[in-house]
Order: sequence, then structure tokens, then C-alpha cells
Amino acid sequence: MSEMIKLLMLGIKNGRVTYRYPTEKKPIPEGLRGRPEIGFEECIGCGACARQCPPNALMVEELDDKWKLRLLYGRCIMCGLCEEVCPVDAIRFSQDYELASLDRGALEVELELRRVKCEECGAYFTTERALEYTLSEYDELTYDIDVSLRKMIHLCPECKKSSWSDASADAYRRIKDEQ
Amino acid sequence: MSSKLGLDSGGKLERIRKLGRSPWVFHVNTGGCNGCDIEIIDTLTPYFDAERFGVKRVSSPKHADILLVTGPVTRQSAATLQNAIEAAPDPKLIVAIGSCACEGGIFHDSFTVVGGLDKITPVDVYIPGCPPKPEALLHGLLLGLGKAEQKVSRSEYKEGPHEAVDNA
Amino acid sequence: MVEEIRKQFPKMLITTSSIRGNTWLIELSKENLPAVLEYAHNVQGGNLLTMVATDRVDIEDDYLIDYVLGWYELGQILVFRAKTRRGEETFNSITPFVPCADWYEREAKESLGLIPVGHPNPRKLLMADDWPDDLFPMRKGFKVDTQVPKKETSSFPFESPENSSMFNIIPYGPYHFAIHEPIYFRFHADGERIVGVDLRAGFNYRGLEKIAESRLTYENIPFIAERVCGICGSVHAEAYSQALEGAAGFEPPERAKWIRVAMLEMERIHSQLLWLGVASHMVGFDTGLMQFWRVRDKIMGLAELLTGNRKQYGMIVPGGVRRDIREDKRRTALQVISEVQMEYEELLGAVLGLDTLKKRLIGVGYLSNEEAKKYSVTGPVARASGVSIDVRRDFPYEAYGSLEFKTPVESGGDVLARTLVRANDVLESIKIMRQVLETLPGGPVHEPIDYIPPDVTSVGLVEGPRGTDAHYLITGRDNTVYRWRVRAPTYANLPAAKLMLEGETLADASIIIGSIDPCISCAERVVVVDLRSGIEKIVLGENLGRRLS
Repeated sequence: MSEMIKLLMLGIKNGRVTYRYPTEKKPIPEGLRGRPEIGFEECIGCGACARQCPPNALMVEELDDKWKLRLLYGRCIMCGLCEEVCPVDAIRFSQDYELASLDRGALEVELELRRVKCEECGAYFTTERALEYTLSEYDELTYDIDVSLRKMIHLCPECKKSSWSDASADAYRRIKDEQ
Repeated sequence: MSSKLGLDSGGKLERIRKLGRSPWVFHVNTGGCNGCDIEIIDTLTPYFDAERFGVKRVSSPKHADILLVTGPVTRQSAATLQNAIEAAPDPKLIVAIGSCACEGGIFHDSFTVVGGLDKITPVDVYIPGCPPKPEALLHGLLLGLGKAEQKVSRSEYKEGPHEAVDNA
Repeated sequence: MVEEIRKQFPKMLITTSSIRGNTWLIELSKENLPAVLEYAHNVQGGNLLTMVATDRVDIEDDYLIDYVLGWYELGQILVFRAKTRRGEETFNSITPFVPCADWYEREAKESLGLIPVGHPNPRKLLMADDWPDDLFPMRKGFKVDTQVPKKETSSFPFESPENSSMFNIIPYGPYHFAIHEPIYFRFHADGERIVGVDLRAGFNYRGLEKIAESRLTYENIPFIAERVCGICGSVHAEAYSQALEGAAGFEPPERAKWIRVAMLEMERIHSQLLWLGVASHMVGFDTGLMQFWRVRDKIMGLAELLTGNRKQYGMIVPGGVRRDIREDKRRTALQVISEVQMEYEELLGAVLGLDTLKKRLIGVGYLSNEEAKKYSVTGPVARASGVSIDVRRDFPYEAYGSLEFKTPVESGGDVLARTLVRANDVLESIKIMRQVLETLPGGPVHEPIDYIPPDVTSVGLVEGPRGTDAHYLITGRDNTVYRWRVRAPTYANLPAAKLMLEGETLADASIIIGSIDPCISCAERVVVVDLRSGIEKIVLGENLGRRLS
């Protein structure tokens, strides 16, 4: 009997601990992984996030001159891998956790970017923004690399493979001539 | 109200909102990992206390107004899920909780998984998360009952046609 | 132990090699396997940790059959390997004399098509009732996203005791109020007494192992491993990381090891508090549910602060951990642990003094010491029957070698003993967490693993809240695993449920099943979902033994 009284006293001592949602919300700590947000202006269209995403919530579709990224909040497991691999920090986790929805379409995000053509064969191979990003990074690091190797950035992977040997031989000859 | 939120499942949402009594819930686990299930039970514990809204867990789907479904629908449990859905009387709300029930989650392409609750039955409320916090569950429940606003919406961005190209 | 086995069977062993400090690989021929295993398990007292069958038809045109046994007192793991050629898909079953190998062999049959010759009843374990008998998912040629059309009628061959027409069949599951997972027990009841038990598992089978082999990389697999179970997720991520780091010969940095211990102990506290609440609910004591979960919510809040999510932390990855514990968070964590300790001790004192509660737990669901060893049960179920096994103490991993803690052991063998073991587990975990948070060493928290050699076999062992979690893996070539096998503790404990249920009343069935803390999603994880027929039949003692197989 005394144990029951002990339990009763415990209950009274702790009082009300309820947070009366929705008017009172329990405070959330920083670093909570809520909804992932894609920065539309920052994304360069490299596709690294989609390759890492374990449940395939981020999916890339490449069709002609368009590069499309789809994010399904419904499938996201909030693991944070996409945030870790993005080279430009375009995808970040907000602290939104109230994601309920009455229809599935509201849980989708779509991003469409333009693709560029290969200068040799004309096939579409990467997005314009990714190319600009590569050039700007390349410029900073390798401003004195030979011009024939620099041109390879504008070629699709197939053409890169076939013209690599010629381009590097060219570059080598020029460097030797300058010496 | 349904048109403002963009969905009208045959007036069903209207009917459940006019129910005028405490919504009783029945919980169905179609093969999930249990993370969402313990968050559902957590909603009944003192910190979040879903019983303030009249929510009670019942032991038979025949007494339920709301069916909370978790887990990617596995092959073996699809039949029992169907039985539970048919046993619950109309008007009822079917709520898909967690990333597995919404779209199949990390198991979406497995050979024993049907993948997502809406391949079996139309769903009224989707609550994503892995697992969704108890506050998110309460928000979803209140959304289904018409007492809260939906906060997410679809967003799109198209870069538009080519302007001047400058590939230096 | 390798020496003992070699002395006993001098001509049968083909090769022995050491995989890592305490793990050896012994290769034998298929025919000699049963004799050696009977000696190792029954005479030398090894604990059957797991059994794995692998399809190697794309590399060497054969199948591998591995039995992994562990000796806790010696801290050694032995992997007994036999090979069988393509075209000869059979092997000799050891179930008649090692009953705990029952489920493993049934799974090998249905997922790979290797038939255990001599097995008393190789029915389906995890595959769905309408899954075709000639389709083997774990073979390399089977694609993970194959869709097999559903068939309308399907049935499962349940076992029943003699004179079964005299008994009532009571179904327990798959959806019932007390246990949150679907599992189907079928009881045969004679009035109130249980005379027969059979289970149908498989409702939770999701095909994780196949997904990991086909679509994921070494870095992504911890995330699917965590979702094997929502309650003991980090344990699986840790076991996988340990197995992979062992295969690569890699040691994570010191600070990472200590943070991993903090994560695991935090999960142990939350899991045992969860069990205490759910068990109180099962015996009708709802105040216990609310109060224990109120205390538990502080731990969930701490997890959210340290890791970013209340559950499924996503912290333990191969190479270390993903986030560091900042100084202010560390101090908050110590404060929360002290609060939890004070409230828990108060609550426990009040709850365990209740006579009415104790009367429902004493003498119910008894499992003797010999039966516990025979069925290789693990965790609190074993420790409550006097078998003192604890991976943290016997195979020290991460930082446990430098921490002080005790392993609670009871000898009652009934549900009360299991409750006491779990209740004391929480106090020990709190002690460990305090030690870790007070003396956390400095340094980096993650270092990338340079090179993972292919075709290396490795076993990772972790003490989870429910028992020993064993992950077996063979590394592959394309940055993914070749074979990964998860053996959760419930897989070993559930077959013993039949023994515990014999002769008990129907009213006690919930708490007995609950006392093994079944985490069915752990037991079924992979592709084969074996749902044991949830129906629990009350089986009389001797029937239970027969029924087990």
C-alpha cells in the first residue's frame, strides 16, 4: 500500500510535463535534421547527392538538353549524406519537422538545369553550371596548363578518351619547345 | 476547405471532421523497423499526451476511426493489412507514417516489399520522417482532422531556355 | 580451442588460419562438419553465434556453408567452413543434436536452395506463404527488384500436438495490442493451459541483405543496418563497422571509440526503459508505462541534442563517428544523465516494491540453465538463467576494455529474474556513460579507411540491449559487400519461447513473450522474413521440444 502512495507522490512531485502542442512546442536543439532544402541558385548539377542517397530519395533524370533533379521528402531518411558530399553546399538541412501533407505531390521538389553540348560530337553531357564551376576552379588552380589540355574540359567523356593522347602529346611538344 | 488544401477524397475528409467525437486510432505495422511505432506510443506518454485530443489506442480495427500504418508493406503482411482496412468502418482516415509507408523508404525496390501504402489503398495523410517526431505526428493528426494547416508544398525551379553561351 | 578441436579430430581439419587476433577459420569437408560441430557445441560448450550460406557460383562455382561458434570464457570465435559444388546443393543438418541450428538451416534452404539433409521439418521461415518454392533470392543471379506476382491462396503447414482436436486453437497476432510488431503465434489451449506452440514469422522480412549487396556501397550500408531495428539501431551499425574495420585491419581513432560507447550505452538505457514500460503495460500496470517513458523521453532529448535525430542516430560509420561532442553539449549530457539516474532510482524503488506486480512475474516462463545453454540464448534471457555472458566483458571492443562496469546475473530463470537483470542493466549503463563523458580523450573523430581488401571474412560482435548481435561479412570488389549476414539476438531467443510457454496459462502468454524482448524486425531483417506463426500454442513440455524443430 505504501508503494502505491509512493507512486502517487512521485506523480504529484513531477507535475505536468506536457508540452501543449500546437500552442506550446518543445524546444528543438540546433543541428536537428529536419527537411532538406535545395538552394536552387547554388546547385551546379553534379549529381553527387543522388549517387550517395541510400533510399534514392534524390533522383537524377537526364533527357536531351535538360538535367532534372527530383527530391521526394516522403522517401528521405534524413541521414545527412547529401549535405556531406555536395561540393557547393547547395543542399542543407533545415529544422522543419512538420512535414505532414494531404497529398503526395506536395512532398516533391523538382529542379531543372540546362545541359551543354560536347564541342566535338555534339552530344549533351553535363550541365552548364557544372562546366562553369569546373572552369572557375580550374582557372584558379591550373592557370598555366597548356591550352590543348584545357580544351578537353569542353568534351564529353567519350571524346575525352579518344583525344587524350593527341592533346597530351601536343602539350608535351610545346612545353619542350619552350624550354 | 478541401479545395484550399488541394484534396477532396470524395468528401471523406469533411465527414471525418464532422465526426463530433474523439477519434480512436488503430495501429498497423506492416513490417517496419519499429522506429515509427515507438514514436506513436510516445505520443501517448506524458510529454506529448495525445489523449488531450481524445485519441485512444484501440485493440480492434472495428472500433477505429483512424488507421495509423507504418512499415513498407511486405508481401506477407499485405493480406492482413487489407483485412484491417476493410474491417474499419467509414468514415475513416488512413495515415501513412514514416518514409517506409509514404514511398517505400530505403526498401522501396526490394522483392518482398510492395513499396508504399498508396499502392494498396488511397492514403489521406502522409507524415514523412525517419522516424517522425511525436510533434510531427500530432501535426499530421490535426491536419487530417482539419485543425492545423499544411506547411509543405511542392516547389519547382526551371532554369529556362539558353541565353548567350560563353564557354571560355 | 583450435588445439582442442585439432586433438580430437586430427584428420578431419583441412586448414586453419587466423583471420584476426581472436577469430580463426577452420575448413573442413562437408561430411565431417556434423561430428566436429557436435563436439564443439555440446561437449566444449560453444555458443552458436550464426550460420551463413553464401553463393559463390560467379567466382568459384561453389557454395560456402559457415557455422560461427563463440566461446565467451575464452574470448574466441571459430568459423567452421565447408564448401559444396554447384549441382550438389545439400549439406548435413546438425539440428537433430544441436537444436538451435534449426532456424538457420531452414533459412539456408529457402533463400539459397541448399537442402539440410536430416532436418526434421524444413518449412519456410521467412519467405511469404505464396513465394514459389523454386525461386532463391540470395543467389547471385536473382535481381533485388524482381517482382513476383502474388498468388491468391497460400497456406503454411502448422504443427499440432497429438489429440489436437481436443484443444482450442488460439491465434495470437499478427496484429495485437501488446507487441508492436506483427508476428503470428498459434497456441493450442486445453482450457487455460497452453499445450502447443507454433509460430509463423516472416511478416517483417524486407530483403536488406540483398539490397546491401546490389545497390549500396560500404558507406551507405550503416544506414540500412540501423533500420533493421528502430530500437536497437546503433548496435547493428556498430557491428557492421566493427566487422568491416576488422576486415581492413583498421583501428578507429580513440575519441571515436569513446563516442561510440556513449551512443551504444545511451541506446541501451532507452531500450531497457522502453521494455520496462511495455512490460508494465502487458501486466496491466499502465502507470509504469507512462512513468518509465517519461524518464526515457529525457534520453531521447539528449540523443536529439547530440546526434540530430531522436532515433536512427546515423552516427556510427566505418572509420569513426560523424559528429563530435562539443564541450557545452558534453556538460548538458552529464546533467541529463544525473537527472535520469535520480528519477529512475526513485521510480524503480517504488515499482519493485509492489507485491501485486511481483506476483505476476514470479515463477512464470521458466527457462533452466541447461536449456539456456542448449539453445544458445543470449542477453538478459541467458543472464537471468545463470549463464554469465557479456560481449562487453568477454570480447572487449571499442573502449570497454578501459571502463569499469559489472554484468548483472540472476539465477531465477523466470520473468522476474529477467526484469531484474534489465533494471540493473540501466544502472550499469548510466555508470558507464558517466565515465565516458567525464574522461573523453581528445583527437579526431573520423579517419577514412584507405583500402579494404576483397574476399576477406570477418565477424563483428556487439552486446545489444537484447543480447549478442553478430554480423558476418565477406568483402567484395566494387566498393560493396559480397555477403552480409545479420544475426540479431532475438533470432536466437525466440525458439526458446516455446520452452518457456509450455504449461503456462494463456493470460501469462503476453508477458512471457514480452520477457524475451522480441524485436521481430531484427530477427527477420533480411530477405527472408520468417514469421513464425505467431500463434502460440500452449505446448506441454515434451511437445515443445519436438515442436521446436
